[in-house]
Amino acid sequence: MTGSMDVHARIRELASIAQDFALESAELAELDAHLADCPACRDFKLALRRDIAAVAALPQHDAPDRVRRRVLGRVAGRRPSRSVLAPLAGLIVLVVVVTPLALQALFRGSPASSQAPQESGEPSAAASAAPTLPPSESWARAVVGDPAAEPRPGSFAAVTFVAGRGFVAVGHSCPPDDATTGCFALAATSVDGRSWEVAPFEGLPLTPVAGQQAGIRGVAAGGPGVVAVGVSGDRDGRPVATVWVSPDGRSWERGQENPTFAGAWMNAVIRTQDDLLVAVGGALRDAGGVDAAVWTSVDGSTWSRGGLTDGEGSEAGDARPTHDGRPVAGLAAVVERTGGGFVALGANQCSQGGPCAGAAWLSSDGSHWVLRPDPALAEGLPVAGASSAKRIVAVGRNGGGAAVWLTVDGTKWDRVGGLPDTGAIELRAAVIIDDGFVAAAQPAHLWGSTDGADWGVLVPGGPFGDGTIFGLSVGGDVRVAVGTDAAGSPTAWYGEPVEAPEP
Amino acid sequence: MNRAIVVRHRRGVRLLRIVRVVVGWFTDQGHRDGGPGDDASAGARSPGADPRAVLEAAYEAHQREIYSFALRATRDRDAAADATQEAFLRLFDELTAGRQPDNVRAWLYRVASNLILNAARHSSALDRIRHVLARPDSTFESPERDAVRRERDRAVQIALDGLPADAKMGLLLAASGFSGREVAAAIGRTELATRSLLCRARLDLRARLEPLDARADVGA
Repeated sequence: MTGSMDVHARIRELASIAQDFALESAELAELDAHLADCPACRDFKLALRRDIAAVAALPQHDAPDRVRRRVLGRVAGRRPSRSVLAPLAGLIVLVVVVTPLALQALFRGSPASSQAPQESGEPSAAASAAPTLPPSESWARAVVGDPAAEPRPGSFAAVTFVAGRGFVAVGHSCPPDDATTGCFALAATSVDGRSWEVAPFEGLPLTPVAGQQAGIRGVAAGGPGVVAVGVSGDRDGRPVATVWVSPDGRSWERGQENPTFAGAWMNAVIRTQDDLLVAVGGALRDAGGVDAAVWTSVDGSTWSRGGLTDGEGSEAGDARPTHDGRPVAGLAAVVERTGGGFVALGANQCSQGGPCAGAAWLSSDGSHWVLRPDPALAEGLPVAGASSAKRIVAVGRNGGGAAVWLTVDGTKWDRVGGLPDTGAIELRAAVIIDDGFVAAAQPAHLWGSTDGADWGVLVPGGPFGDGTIFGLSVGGDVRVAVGTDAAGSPTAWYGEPVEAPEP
Repeated sequence: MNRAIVVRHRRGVRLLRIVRVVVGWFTDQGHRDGGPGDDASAGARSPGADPRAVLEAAYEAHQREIYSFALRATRDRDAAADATQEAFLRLFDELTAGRQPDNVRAWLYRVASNLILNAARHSSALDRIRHVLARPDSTFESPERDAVRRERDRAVQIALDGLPADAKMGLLLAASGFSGREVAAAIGRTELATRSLLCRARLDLRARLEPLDARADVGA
């Protein structure tokens, strides 16, 4: 028996080697002879081919536009390749220039001179204290729908960029005479961020929800094209988490009903690197109060409710709405960590009529979540987040002002100090743009930071008037912000980078 | 700020820049001497070609597969973007030096492979296994056809993530159509060592995907 197994094992090794290298004639003869009489090993050989075909069939993605800009932009002003004399010249420079400077630094060393210089270039007394920012931005208001039509009350709540299609913004829209009943889920698309086409309202009716604004709250590329999540009501006005799917952002239909949607709502959705959709929100407890809630889906239509441990939720009866009509308690946002896993942000332990404690939940697979209490987060209320290669930023409010928290992996958070003094009461959206963080502040203006620690005003409030920004996205060189204008109508703004002049 | 401190700080910056430039010369040259750009296929000269035009054409033709390859290898969008960017910039260096690779696609794969493997070798043990720890398992429960495909993609990626970095790289290159000999050249191993590496990698991948096949059979 053992001898027989060894033969099969050897044959399978040969079958594996034969996928990449030519076998010796004796090996090939041995392999062929065995395969002729062994169906199991023949199947194994076919399975080896299927495996590598499955690897080859993994979905492909375009490189981010920033790579194109950097490659093609950098070569435009790049010197020709260094010659073989370059190292010799370098040595001369090293000896002639570096050595005296190094000796000088060594013998005159002071705390200031021995500090590691800033990466960003020649420092000055003023520059050393200034925050590091992404490139400047030029922003303007976009045209949404028919400019001649009567504005409808409502709001965009979120926006995403779908490769090959453009931007898709979602929210809710209500009849001009009644903002609480007869509302519709709102979706709009734009190729360039400047002009937006509103999707027909057919298929998007909403049923009012007690204590919440029904509508779409999150959107992501996925499923048949685009997947949106939010909340509508049942006949009793209880919330029902609701999913809409669309091939193109223009024609929409409801996703499949799901028993775990009853009494629940979704606030945000992301698509992961593995094309998994993760939606977060909250759910009413039978005994009163709110639980954090998470769902996952691979197709945007069929969803599974994830499990959360150690979440204490809110106390009984407290599901009061926040600024945009969603309950404070529960999960408000979710981000994917670089290297794998997820971090969800939201509010825990909301007391009756009192404050909530901000919190983060961590998950390795999107389905199983664990609350990670953190004292820095607990003092405030994170409502949005963004993840770069090295850090995760959470934004929201703390007390009466805007707040930013920073973490490497979601397990320990630090509240960022020295934020711009712009009178911002809250940060409501965050996005990664050109490796830096951009956050939307209220009153509407944009903050930026290259590292998440030093923040400055990226775009003052001018272009945004007295509007409110609830969502940010970037596609190519175009940035988009969505929310409401001062009159309470769904509004979008678009921005483009303004290249800094060469020093 | 005290002016003397500012001046010393500026000198420090200049010193660091000079050191970086010098180190950059050496490291770039070192790469050329021992890296994938120095093989015979990269030595063809095409003095008439405009390096920028060649680069742009190469970028349009290959950025998607090189980035996807790097993304599958690193599981990190930023690291994949960095490797893609660096591979194309190094191609530009080759082109401006008058050395247009005979097979630009293969050359880009080889440079990207080296960049990723070098980064993996210099990363901490925790970094190397973090994605494995983060995604220990997957559930295979969706009955929908489309869902099954996506689920299978996830399972394949998770299985790949469980392999050692060089084995994973070898399989990704094989899946991109490269022969065993070309894989050996790309990852800097002998053909004999690569034969053993790829053999073990394929068997390991098969063992990791076998449970998925069993579930699919049950589902069918």
